[in-house]
Amino acid sequence: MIKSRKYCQGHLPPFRCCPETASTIMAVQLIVVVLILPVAYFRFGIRSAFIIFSCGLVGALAQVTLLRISGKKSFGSNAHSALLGILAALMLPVDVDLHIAIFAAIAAVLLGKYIFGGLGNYFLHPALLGTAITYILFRDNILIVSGTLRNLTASSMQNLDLAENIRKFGDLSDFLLGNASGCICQSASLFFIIMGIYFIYRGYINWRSVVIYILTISILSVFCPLNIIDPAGRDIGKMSIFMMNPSLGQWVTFLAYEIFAGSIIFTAFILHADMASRPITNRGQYLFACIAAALTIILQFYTTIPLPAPAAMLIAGMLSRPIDNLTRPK
Amino acid sequence: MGLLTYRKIEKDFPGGLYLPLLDQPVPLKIINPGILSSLLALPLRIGDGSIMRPVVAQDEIVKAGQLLAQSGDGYYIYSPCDAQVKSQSEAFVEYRPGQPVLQLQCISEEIQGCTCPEFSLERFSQKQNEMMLNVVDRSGIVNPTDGQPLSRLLRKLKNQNVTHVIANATGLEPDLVASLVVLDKFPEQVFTAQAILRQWLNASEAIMAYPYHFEIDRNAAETWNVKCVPVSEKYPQGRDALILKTLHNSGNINNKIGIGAVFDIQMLRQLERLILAGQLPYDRIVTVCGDGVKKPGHYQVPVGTGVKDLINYAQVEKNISCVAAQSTLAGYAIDPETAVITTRSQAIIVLADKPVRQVGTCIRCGRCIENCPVGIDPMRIHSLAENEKYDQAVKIGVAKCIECGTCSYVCPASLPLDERIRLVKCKKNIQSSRCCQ
Repeated sequence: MIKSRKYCQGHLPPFRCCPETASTIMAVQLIVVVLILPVAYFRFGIRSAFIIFSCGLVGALAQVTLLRISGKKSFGSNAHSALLGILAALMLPVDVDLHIAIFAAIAAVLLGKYIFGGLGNYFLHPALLGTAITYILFRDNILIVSGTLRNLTASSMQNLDLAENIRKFGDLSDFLLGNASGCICQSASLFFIIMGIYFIYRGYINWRSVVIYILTISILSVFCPLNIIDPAGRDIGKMSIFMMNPSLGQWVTFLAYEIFAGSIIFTAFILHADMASRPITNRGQYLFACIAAALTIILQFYTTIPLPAPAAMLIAGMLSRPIDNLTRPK
Repeated sequence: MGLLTYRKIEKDFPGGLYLPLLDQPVPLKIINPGILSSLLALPLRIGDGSIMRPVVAQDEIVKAGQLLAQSGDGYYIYSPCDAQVKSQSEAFVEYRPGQPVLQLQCISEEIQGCTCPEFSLERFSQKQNEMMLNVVDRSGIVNPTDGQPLSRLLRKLKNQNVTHVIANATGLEPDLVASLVVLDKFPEQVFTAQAILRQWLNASEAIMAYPYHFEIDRNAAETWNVKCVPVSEKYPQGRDALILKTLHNSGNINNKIGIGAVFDIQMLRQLERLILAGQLPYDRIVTVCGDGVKKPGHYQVPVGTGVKDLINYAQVEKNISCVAAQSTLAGYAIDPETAVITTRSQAIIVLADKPVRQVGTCIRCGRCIENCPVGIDPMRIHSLAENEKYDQAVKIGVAKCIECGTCSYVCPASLPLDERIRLVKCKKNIQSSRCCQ
């Protein structure tokens, strides 16, 4: 017996649940990234975990407050804003002052997301933008420990020893398991890989983009010339890894440090999961990955910008719309 | 089937997706429920055709096979049984409420349709060219895809270089596999119809596209020289435009040499029954499914049967939120109290809990573009349509859209992408599956 008379013209297809709503996507990403909290706690102490948690909370509160002030209905889910806060915190040193971290979270939501019109309307990753602004404004208060190979040290060009240079960084496992000092995004690569694999499984990242990004970085890092400096810090020349003719073991070690030590894994697997700041089509994302990888190497080898991979992603974001125009169906 | 072949079949067209079952699987058999109601409401308007004019008077007693109504553009209705003509009324037909219907009170104990010798072509091969269209013209067989009379379609195809006569047994959705059920139960009839059309249209080949896991009757296919091509079950493989694309991609048809004409399987069976047995079309096999019915199935019911009677037979739940027709992604909601089964009915989906989709803002995930089977940009079309830039929307491929609803389904923001595309089509007078309301 049909009792309900609710039917018809007001009801439009599809008559199936959406496989995944935007809120679900943001919530899943937040839950996965929040799993870094135990790593932060056990590796860097309760203060670090507290800062990350606070940034997430402040991000969500910033959204709620802005909604109330502006009277707007919604410009994206609270989970997304919380995620932005956490990502901003991950890109700051673990011993950063709390007020600086909170500033970064608020800047990400307000300047990176709200100003552009909310979720889906921005083209630069809000967390990256917020962090960049924080680094610029508080550069005297933030001590950056570089986790990447930016130049090679040798007494002379003839005494160049690649293995010696790499050994100076320390044990690779420190970078994989979150033992290295600096920002968490530079040192917990293994955990970010696990998170990224889950994002790939859920379809938030195209695995080909990740592979293209990492491969391009690997190739360019080998062929692009590095600055050679003497122990006094003077520039004595340039040489690429390829030109050094290293042994197979040295190749592998260098590439392992290049990829896993530093923020490349964090950028490839976590930052790339933000859908609004990357090109829409798969082909566009592959091109974007190549450009971001090239910019990463340029910033890493030839500038002193801290966290070159996220910075490169931020700059490449400016090209996401032009890339869309090139690659979208016509 | 080897793994490589399987993988190749899985990628037979770009985009698309695999839909989950709505609820319990629908048994792959035809259920004949008998007379659900002695009162039939035969639609007087099909698709965008003109309204048929009854040629019988109210309270007149008609015989099975007697002409009841006709229109000037090729639509005919015949009585499926001995009946008394009642008044004209209104019902929900296809996606339109308030459509004229002719009510019949059946006198006979069963509704089995009728055979009319004047419609059968004995020794078909001798009389095909002259008699084929004459017979099909007056038969009332309608192409379910566009609601046009079959004769009109055949006339149009006769003037074109048709090289392939194609039948698509892939279901519209995983639950909506009435075509497959018909092929399973009546393979000879379907293949015979394909052979008839191949001969009449001077086509070089007849192709049966079927889901690769289905055990097709190859003996019957070989008898009638029909080529069987396995295809994937990705949505929307059941659409004519997609099956042509799939067959072209797999090299089974060549668009440069000629065109492939796709025919609905139930329509093929009706054609075969008409030509070889003189049986006029009177029924339709309709899938009833969804979590709002306890007895989902493929029901063989006369045209004009009330949807209410049908879903009551399928043991509808006490409280349902929505009844949809045709498909869950590209169908439309209907009023179960007044809707009737027509010659175009494919499926009735009864939902106990209609999913509530809250419309948000686009998050630029790109899933609509990635899953679009025809390769257009629904996101951009939606944005242009919102700003009433219909001409620009047309330039970026609105006409290519087959209105499958994949984009709307996968959109995390629940944007009404296919409705916007349909709106653009209506505004720019491009053919659409149904006019936007």
